[in-house]
Parts: sequence; structure tokens; C-alpha cells
Amino acid sequence: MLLEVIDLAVDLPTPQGLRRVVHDVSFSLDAGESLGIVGESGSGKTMTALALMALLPDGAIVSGALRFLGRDLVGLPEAEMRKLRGDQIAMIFQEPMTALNPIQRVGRQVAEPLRLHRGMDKAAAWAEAVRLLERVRLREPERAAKAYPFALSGGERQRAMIAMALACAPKLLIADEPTTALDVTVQARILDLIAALSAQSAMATLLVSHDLAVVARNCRNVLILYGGTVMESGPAEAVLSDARHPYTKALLDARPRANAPRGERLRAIAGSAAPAGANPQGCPFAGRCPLTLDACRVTPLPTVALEGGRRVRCLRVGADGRLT
Amino acid sequence: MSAPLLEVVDLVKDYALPRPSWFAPRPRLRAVDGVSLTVATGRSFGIVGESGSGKSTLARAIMALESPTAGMVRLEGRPLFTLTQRELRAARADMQMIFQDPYGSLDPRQRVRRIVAEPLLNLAHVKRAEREARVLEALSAVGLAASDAEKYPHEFSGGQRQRIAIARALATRPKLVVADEPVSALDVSVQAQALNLMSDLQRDAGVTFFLISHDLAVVGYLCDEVAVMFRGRFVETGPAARLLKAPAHPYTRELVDAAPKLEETAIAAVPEAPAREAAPGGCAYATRCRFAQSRCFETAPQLRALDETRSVACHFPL
Repeated sequence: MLLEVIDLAVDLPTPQGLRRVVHDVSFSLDAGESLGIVGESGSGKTMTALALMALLPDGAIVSGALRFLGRDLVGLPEAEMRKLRGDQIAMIFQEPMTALNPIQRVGRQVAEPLRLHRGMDKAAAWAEAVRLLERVRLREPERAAKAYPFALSGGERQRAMIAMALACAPKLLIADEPTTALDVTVQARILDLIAALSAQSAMATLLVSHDLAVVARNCRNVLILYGGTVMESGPAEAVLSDARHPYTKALLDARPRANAPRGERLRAIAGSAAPAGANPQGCPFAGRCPLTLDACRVTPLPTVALEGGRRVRCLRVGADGRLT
Repeated sequence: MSAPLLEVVDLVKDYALPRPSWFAPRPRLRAVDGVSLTVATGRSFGIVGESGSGKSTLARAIMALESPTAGMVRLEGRPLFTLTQRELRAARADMQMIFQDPYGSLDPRQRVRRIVAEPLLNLAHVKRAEREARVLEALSAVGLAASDAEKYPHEFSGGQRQRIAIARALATRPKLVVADEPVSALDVSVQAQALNLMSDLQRDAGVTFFLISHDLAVVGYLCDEVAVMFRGRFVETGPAARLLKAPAHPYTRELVDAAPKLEETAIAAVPEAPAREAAPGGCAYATRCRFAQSRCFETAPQLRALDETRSVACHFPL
């Protein structure tokens, strides 16, 4: 097992004291596998990803276990973590313009992890950076390497970020909303590129997204987060075609369908997304759920394991996966 | 026959770019390149296209927030750009705009009452009592309570803020509402609320939307007519349902194929377009087009009627 996350919890400091923004999150990921973490704003999806990179804001407290190649990353000294980051675990972000250094040539930034982790000299690292830019199918990789980030388009910048992430052939790539700022046609190509690169090198991918369809397209498994907690998980195809959790169902029903009759009302979910850590005793979705019972607000969430590796966390779902 | 609600004729908008050197002339960027369209009352119109296609510039020109380099915009037959400032202000009562970002478009220091009343302050004939009544009417139309009028924007969630923005657009009882990506900043679970609201307003309040979106499903949901824009020009126009189901232009096809769909897991990879040099006289899309032939690099196709309702600018429509 490449990565095993067991009962991850993240507490963030706020002026009112610590607030639990991620709790009870467990999942595992094998080499070459892809997992999509889906959630709305405040669902804790980005905090989960940042916990893996040990890049949480100052004062954040992580509990549970994050086993990467058998070694627990929780409480790992920063010096050790620095050796992993950019080498074995790499991350790409939503807005490559803010993640790239605007006053450094792209090639130098792509070469940086090679200089740092592989001890390559300047010329060798530069040559390798150009090769990496070619591998992410940037046109004219030599020109792109010499360019500054502003001279590249949004799609080209995201390709450069991916090249940087791939520099040391990481075992795990974490992509946080990698295509949200891009046009759909560019998005499709970037997602295909990530899938192709992970297939070539058995790299595992963790794709964080608000978009169910993006995850459906790219990931074998999916984890649906809401209010900092996992609502449902399992193979993406099964979960998205036959959702069992009321939240997943509601999310799928709320989408406008391409061939729906004109004027058909969408099935909106009342209220707005719960902030992470809402209703810590019971289910965070209880306030918006059409099936809520009084017990949902106060009972700790059960985990119902279904066949096919699926899990549902809902008081109303029985052992057979049906509503009780 | 009465004039259509909105008419855009051969609209061109150029922007001057910075000089490459001190004495060089400023290069020009043609953001909108000869666009014509007609929106009939009650027939919401959608524009789709990628970033840089000129769709937001077009929306701003329709709102008379930009003066075009050439061409005309008529609202119910009145040409907008020949109006005096005073007349234009009055005309703005009939057209309002909703912006993408419900955080940036509301003044954080003003109460909701004042924000929603803002467009009414331009209308001399709307007196104070009437204004108060219209604010409450607009708030109730978007499902907000009268007590919300006294609150500040930060007291609301993103979805509620977009409702405030929609209420502000409705306060003047406009005939046309220009909405630039109205739901793309909202959470998935909240998007449906905003779309339902806009759909209700179309039906009950007689609002016609001019909608800009990159999301084909959103355009398909709200609009009767669609135009696909690429590099400042319309490449295809027609009824939303037919255009999205059976695109005639290769670029529309690319957009439809690239949109991720839940129904298809692991869909076929989108082919990379062959890298080719663009010819100045040719079709702007030819370098990316999978179906391009030599003629596409020589002459630019004009928008022409495909049948009674659809037009396409392609030498070899699909």
C-alpha cells in the first residue's frame, strides 16, 4: 500500500479556539491508482491534501495516521518532510500563476527539484527541465523553458507546473483543482495528460475537485466529503451511477442535464454548504438533508460497508445499502 | 411589427495594446470582430466561448459600458450609442447586469437595502416610497426576507450574495438582464438554486437573459438561442437544444466533447490538434481544427445560414 490515511483529523486555530475542519477521514491509495476527493467549499478537501504535504497553516494540529510507504507522516520532522516533498510526493495547484515564481524563468523552476533532490548541476538540470517540458507536451519546450510565467497561457503554465511536479518521478501526485481556472478544451487535455503520465510510471494521483464530472472522467475511486467528513466512498463509476448517500444523490440531482426539457426545475438543495466542523456530534448534512431524523443531529456517523468496496456514512442507510 | 428587444449590428471593438517601443504605433487587438445578433423578448440568448473569445467585451458593449469601435446596439429600436448621458441613464432601467463574483460586486460597507436601491437612484421618476417598495419586491422575488435589507453583504453566503446581485438587477424591472457567468463562482449545491431562480424570473417576471457562460449545461438550461464565439466572431448560432445536440461547427463539437459528463466515465482522450501555421486570411480556428483542409487556410468562412434557424461559419460544416 502506497498511502494509508487512518482517521485523519485536522484542527485549525481560530480566534475562538481550535476548530475541527477535517475529521474521521480514512482512505488508501495503491501505486498507479487514482482517487478523486470531491467536495464543496468548506468540505475539508484542500485541508486533507495539505495535511499530506505537511503544508497546513501554522498552528494546525493533525491527528490520526498518514502512512506513506509504511512510514507515518504525522509528526515527521520538517527536515524529513522536506526530503519527501517535491521528490516522492508532489503537488499541483489551481492557479499556476500564483504557484510559479513570476520573476524566474520557467526552466529554472522546473529544474529546481532536480538540483535540490538529485543534486544535479545547473546545466544537467536545465537539460532535464527541457525534456520534462517536452514530456508534458508543451510546444517549443526550449522557448518555454526560457520564458517567464507571464508569457505562457493558463494551460501552458499548468503544463509547466506538472513538469515541475514530475521532475523527480514522484510516487504520489496531489492535484488540487488543477483545471478549475482553465477553459474546458484545455481542461480535457490537462486531465488526459495527468492520466497518461500516471499510467506510464505507476504514479498514484489524488485529484481534489468540486466537479463530480471531472472526477468521474479521471478517477477509479471517489471520496465524497461534506463538512469535513467522508459521506460516501467507493469506485467512482458505482458511486456516481448509483449513489447511496442522500448528499451524493442530492448533488447529482442538482446538476442541469444537457437534454432535460426546457423549464424543468432543478432539484436544488436548500440552504448553503455547511462549514467544515459544523455539527461535530452528528451528521454535517443533517440541516439540509430531506431524510433527516432527530437522531441524525446527535448520533456519531456510522460507517456502513457495502459490497464492491463501497462505504456509506449515513444513519438512514442499512447494511444492504437501502434506506431504512 | 415592433422592434426586437435587443439588436446588435456588425459590432467591432478594438483595444489598443502597449507600445512595443517608444516610437512604435500601439498595436490593436480586435476583441469583437463584426458580431450581429437579435434577441426577441422572452427568448433568452446564451454566448459560449473560451477565455479571450470576446464574450465579456460583447456583454459590456451591450450594456454601453464600452463604446464600440464600429457597429450599433439597439434596445427596443433605440440606438444606444447616440443617446445623451441622461437618456442613456434612463435606458439603463431596461437593462441590468449580473456579474460573476458575488463577493467583488457588492459594496461591503453598504446595507443590502442601499445596494439593491442603487440602480433606482438614477431614475428621477421613482420617488422614495416607491423605491422602498421596489427593493422589498426585488428581495422577495429572489427569496430573501424583508429583514435582510438591513444586513451587510458579509452576513450572507455566496449563494445568497448572488441573490442580492440578482435582486439589484431586478429593482428597475428591466426587460433585459445581462449575466456574465452568474453561477460559476457558486458551490454545486447552490448553483441549482440560482438557476431555478433565473428560470422562474424568465417565466414569471418576463425577464429576458443575455447569458455568458463557459458551461454548456447552464446555457442549455436557461437559453433558447445560443451563439458560439471564437476569437471575436460567432462561429455558430441556433436554437440551444439543437446546437448542443448536433454541432455543425468543429469548434462547437470540440466544446461539447471536452465538457466532462457524468454519464461517461473514462471517455476517449481528446486528440491534440496538429501544430500548423495560421494564414492571416484563413479561418481563425483552422490551426486547431481536426477537419481543416487547405481551403480553410486560404479564405475565412463567413457566417451563413445552414437552415431556417441555424448559421455556421465553416467551409465544411459537420
